[in-house]
Amino acid sequence: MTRRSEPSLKALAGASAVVIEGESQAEYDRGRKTTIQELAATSPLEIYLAEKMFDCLWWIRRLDSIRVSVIQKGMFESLGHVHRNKGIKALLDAEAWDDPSLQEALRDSGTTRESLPAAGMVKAQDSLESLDKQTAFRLKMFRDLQKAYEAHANRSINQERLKLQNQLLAQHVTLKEVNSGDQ
Amino acid sequence: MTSELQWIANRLNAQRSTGPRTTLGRKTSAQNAVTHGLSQPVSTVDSTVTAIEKELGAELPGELAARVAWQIIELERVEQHLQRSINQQPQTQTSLVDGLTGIPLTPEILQGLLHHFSPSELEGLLSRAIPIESKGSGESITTLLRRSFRYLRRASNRLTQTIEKC
Repeated sequence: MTRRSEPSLKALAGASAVVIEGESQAEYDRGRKTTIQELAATSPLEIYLAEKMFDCLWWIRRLDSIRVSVIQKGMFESLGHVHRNKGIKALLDAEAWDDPSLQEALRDSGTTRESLPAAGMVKAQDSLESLDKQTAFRLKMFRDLQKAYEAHANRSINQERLKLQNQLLAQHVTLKEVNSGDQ
Repeated sequence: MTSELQWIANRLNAQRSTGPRTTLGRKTSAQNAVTHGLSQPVSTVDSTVTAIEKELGAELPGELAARVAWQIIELERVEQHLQRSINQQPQTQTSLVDGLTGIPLTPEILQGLLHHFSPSELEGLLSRAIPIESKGSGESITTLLRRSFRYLRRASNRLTQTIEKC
């Protein structure tokens, strides 16, 4: 299998950083490399499609973490405004439900540990719907890329097969010509 | 009813409102309505298209390689826009609100209060003020994602369909 030293199509198309703050570049690179290897992608287009497939999976994971932060934001906004401060936010993020300050905030806001996530989800409903739509699309995009990859890879195989068949046919013809010449 | 004097003043002012005059000013104002630029077509004579087309040359016939190159650039442009949008998320800001009414105590409001309250009253008012966390004035991440969504869908569908059907 040949490894390419030229820049990838993605880099040529102007794509720079793929990971965002809080994500691991090493983890991204590892996953990208594994996907390319598993699909046995060798040509520039095959590598590009494999990279895009992995990007879709990366996005689905990213959208999941965005969903969590959107719910947390909704939970925070469901608390009474007097309790919306950095301390309470940190306690909520750390899920320190037994902390007296958080318990007081819950009591004052008329919510409980159990009802706050639901309240947060109601508050962030529009955002969550949008994120679900994005996730569904990334899944569809992954499938479409997979189909495109297979179509392209099969085309290359078929082209190669036809080329070999033509060579074989040409050899037969030459052989027959030689045989008839001998007779 | 507008007075005659006001009417004349409006007319005179309107004559001065002729918009940008210099080339640079016109060029700048032409971009006023641009929010992300994703609806602008990718230039087919771009050197990037040529470079990608060259890379694809071995596996796709000429015209198709050019089309796929153009579609790859289009898709990457949207992906980069999404990436930038996430990275430029507004930071969380801390602001003061009145603990009793929840009214935000902006610098303008605090300035106004100085004229209506004595220092001791103001001190009492500020003692009940509480800091709250809020996002900056920028759009939320979901709004940004939603806005670019149709461009992503269009670019991705175009590319996959071209490769699949060719």
